[in-house]
Amino acid sequence: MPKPSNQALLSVRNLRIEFPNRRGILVAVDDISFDIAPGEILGVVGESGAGKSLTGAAIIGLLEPPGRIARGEIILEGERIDHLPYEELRKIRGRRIGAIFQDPLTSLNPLYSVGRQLIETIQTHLPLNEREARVRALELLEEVGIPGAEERIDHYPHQFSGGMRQRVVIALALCAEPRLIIADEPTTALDVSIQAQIISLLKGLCHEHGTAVMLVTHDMGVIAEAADRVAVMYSGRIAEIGPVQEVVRTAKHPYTHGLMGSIPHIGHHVDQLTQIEGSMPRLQEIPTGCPFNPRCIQVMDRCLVERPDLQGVDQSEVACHLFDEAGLAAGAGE
Amino acid sequence: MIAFLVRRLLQAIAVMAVVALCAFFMFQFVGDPVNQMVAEDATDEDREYLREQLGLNDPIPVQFGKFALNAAQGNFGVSYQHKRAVSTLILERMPATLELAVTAAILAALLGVPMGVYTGLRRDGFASKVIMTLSLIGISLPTFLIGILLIYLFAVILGWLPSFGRGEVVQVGAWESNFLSASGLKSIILPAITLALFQMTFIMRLIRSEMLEVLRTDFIKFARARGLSNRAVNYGHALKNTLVPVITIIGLQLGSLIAFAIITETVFQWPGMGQLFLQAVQVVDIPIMSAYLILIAFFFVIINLIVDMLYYVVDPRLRVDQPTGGGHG
Amino acid sequence: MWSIRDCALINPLGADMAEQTAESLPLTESPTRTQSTFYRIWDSDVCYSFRSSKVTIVAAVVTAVIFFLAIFAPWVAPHRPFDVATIDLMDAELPPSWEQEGDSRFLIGTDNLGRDLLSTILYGTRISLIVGFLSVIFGLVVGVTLGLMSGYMGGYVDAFIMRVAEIQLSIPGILVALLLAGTLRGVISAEAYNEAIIYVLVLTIGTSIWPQFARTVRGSTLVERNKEYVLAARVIGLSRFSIMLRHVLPNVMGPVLVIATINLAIAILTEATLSFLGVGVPPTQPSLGTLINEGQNYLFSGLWWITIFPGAVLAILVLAVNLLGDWLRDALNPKLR
Repeated sequence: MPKPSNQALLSVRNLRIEFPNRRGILVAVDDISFDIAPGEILGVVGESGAGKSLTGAAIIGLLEPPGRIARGEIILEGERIDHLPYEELRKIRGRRIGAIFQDPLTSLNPLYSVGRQLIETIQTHLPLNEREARVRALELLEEVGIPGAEERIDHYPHQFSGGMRQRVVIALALCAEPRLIIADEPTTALDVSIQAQIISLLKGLCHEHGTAVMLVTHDMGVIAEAADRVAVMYSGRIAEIGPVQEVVRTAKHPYTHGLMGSIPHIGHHVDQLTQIEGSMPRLQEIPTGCPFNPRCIQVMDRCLVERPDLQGVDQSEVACHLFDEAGLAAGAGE
Repeated sequence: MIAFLVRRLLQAIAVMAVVALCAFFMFQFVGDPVNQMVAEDATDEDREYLREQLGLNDPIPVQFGKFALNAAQGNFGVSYQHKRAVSTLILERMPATLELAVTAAILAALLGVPMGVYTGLRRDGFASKVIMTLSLIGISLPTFLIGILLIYLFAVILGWLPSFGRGEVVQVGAWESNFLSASGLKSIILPAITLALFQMTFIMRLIRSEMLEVLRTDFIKFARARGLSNRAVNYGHALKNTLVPVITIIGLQLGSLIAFAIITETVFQWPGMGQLFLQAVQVVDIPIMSAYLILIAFFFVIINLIVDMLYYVVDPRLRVDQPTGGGHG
Repeated sequence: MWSIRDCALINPLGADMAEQTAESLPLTESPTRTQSTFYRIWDSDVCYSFRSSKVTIVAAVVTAVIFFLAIFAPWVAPHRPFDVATIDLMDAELPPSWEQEGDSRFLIGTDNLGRDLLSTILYGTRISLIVGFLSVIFGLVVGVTLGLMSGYMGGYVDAFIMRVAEIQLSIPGILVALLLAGTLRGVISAEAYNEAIIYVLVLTIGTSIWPQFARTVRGSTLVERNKEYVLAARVIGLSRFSIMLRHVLPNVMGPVLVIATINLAIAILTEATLSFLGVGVPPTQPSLGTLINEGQNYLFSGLWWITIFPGAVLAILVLAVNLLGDWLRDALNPKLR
């Protein structure tokens, strides 16, 4: 369990997200905890269904019913925000936590010019009049690298290309200078050539403004490029969390290890890309013990019965019985 | 924009031509108009003379040309039943139908749109459920039954409102209006409600499902994530995006109101075009039937054109033909 | 969107997490082998949503009872209303039996000709249902066929069929039906018309509802047409059409069933309306609409039951079918809620 730190911008403590249905309760996110420091980029990676996007939605209070936060706390700058009434939370959204969604083509309202959408967001959060807000909107558009902002501000979303639209979306997220941005798969829907541009733009802007980012993605390449730390999620739990270099280079959890093995590296000679056998269990079929046990090549008896907790190994934290004192010897290595 | 309008106009003309063709073939194949027009004991020469007069011996394309030309000028021939020019008959009846249809449309839109928006936004609220249940009853009751029930309640039992006819109408030029006398106003209440009720529930249910659809979109979720107020999200973003389908629906419903007026006019013996048409159907008065068909098609086409133009006002994607920045991502 | 991404694995259709978990997840659940087929059906989502909605259960029971009574009208009805020998004009216009002047032989009274109203209504419902069902079947067969053709052949065929469907959808069904009925009256004699009336009605009403089926099936066909298995089937020399048919039809079963149910209600209403307007079923073999039309004239003289009872049966029948249609739509496609 990571130590609650006072200087953390965002602290998630023992978060549990449930979806009640008629046969009982599905646990989509189970007891996860992590911190994001000011200005830090935390990558959250995992397969579809691992609970990473739900965690993001829970932080900005936009979980869709019947999904609900069943337990745990979300603390922003020392203030607990997970149980705030809708209206209070609304004031935090956009102002203190910005959001970027996956698909820039559908994130913008097609019927309003981008300027109007920017101005509307600025005026919601900042005490500016229409003219001042427009000036700020222009600055933002220039900042995210939209050429000819003066003219483009009155254009409608359909007049922008996908990459340009994602820049507009980033501008919208930055409107009120939030301290944290939740970016949910910000590049997945874009052309590969554009992806790198958007990631470096996001990284650069956040560095300049000292904005922290929770970067949700299933793309390890994006994480390796942009993130300071990375959290690997599996079946609604954090499998491994640590500095990005360490996790990428010396993955500890067998799942992370498998993930890394499935990425081709230029310059590295590998005979065969490894692949993790099987697929992630459905929410209602998560096995007891470690959720990864059916697919794990290093599975032990203990893994079948006892759920591993996060424990510090080097600078990372790993939820795996291989690193229990007894198990350490059994083989933490490659 | 102009290219679009021209294309739409051409389409409209094509539709009208097809409808005219249908109307024309009704003449061609249904009964012999000569039989309908001459006396029982007419001689064959008389008949032949009339055929020649009516141009029935011309080749069919020529006949259709004449028919279309006449129709375009509002000349639909003489009613078999009434022995009067169809155009005069229809013009006499038109104000009654239009006043009824417009009143019903306004009623339906004024009540249907807000209820649709409300039930869409508060889909699980108690009031929404009540409205939805009532609306289901609304679309399950046939129009004529609603009319009969209203007559029974308000005219027979309570005696508050007249059960049939237009009451006293006031002549304004060639237009006979219901709105200028107390009796006329009282007379239009029940028929208008009858006609509006089904349309209202229809509009309401469609707007509700449109709202639910829009509220699920990414840009609404993103608008919430930007911290916009509920008001801005619901009315500024969601409602505006339902406008395009809503305009279509209301436009099309306006056309169908005129058709549904047939039933209402029959129940309330309202002297409008619908009643005229129904009588024509019962005695196979082809000139009136074909004229009515063409007229309704014309209304539809005009309404569709207006709807198309309204799209331009609402949706910027149609206003600009060329995306300026590097196409679509 | 937040929730959608995370659930892609368990949710190939991309529906919402909320609905996903609440409705369709259990469908993918592998049932324990010991469970009986009956239990699996009983426990399925469609069945569950049926069991948990009291309104739907009531609607289903009401529909079933009305169907039963109508189908077996000749055996259930207390009188034979169309057998002139059994009718006595002296019995005309009797109020329901619980009213002062009522007659215990006629539970809900008699009509203007002395026919037992209850029996007349049972026979009338029978005719309404026959016309309704046949119309929907006709519209369904025509619509599904044209929709498949449209989606499969594409090009001009598709453009033509869809344009016709579009034009027809924009014209109210009742108007199409009236025009067709009027034209037919001109072509054939009144007697032949009355004899063939049921087929005329089926033809006209069915014609007014086919476009909805066609559009739904076409959409689904287009989706399937470009899938890889269709290509694969083509490569190994199988008929693409028959392969596709086998995949398209199961896919559209749900929507087609929903459209059919809702249109059954509409067809019953249209038939009633046409009969009410005097171009439908003649008074000698009255349907519910004819009965209401006849009774309407007696409303002013206080003979309310002649109109109100057939009206109530019609309204209850249509409401029940509509409720079933609504439920079916929600149960088969939770996204539409």
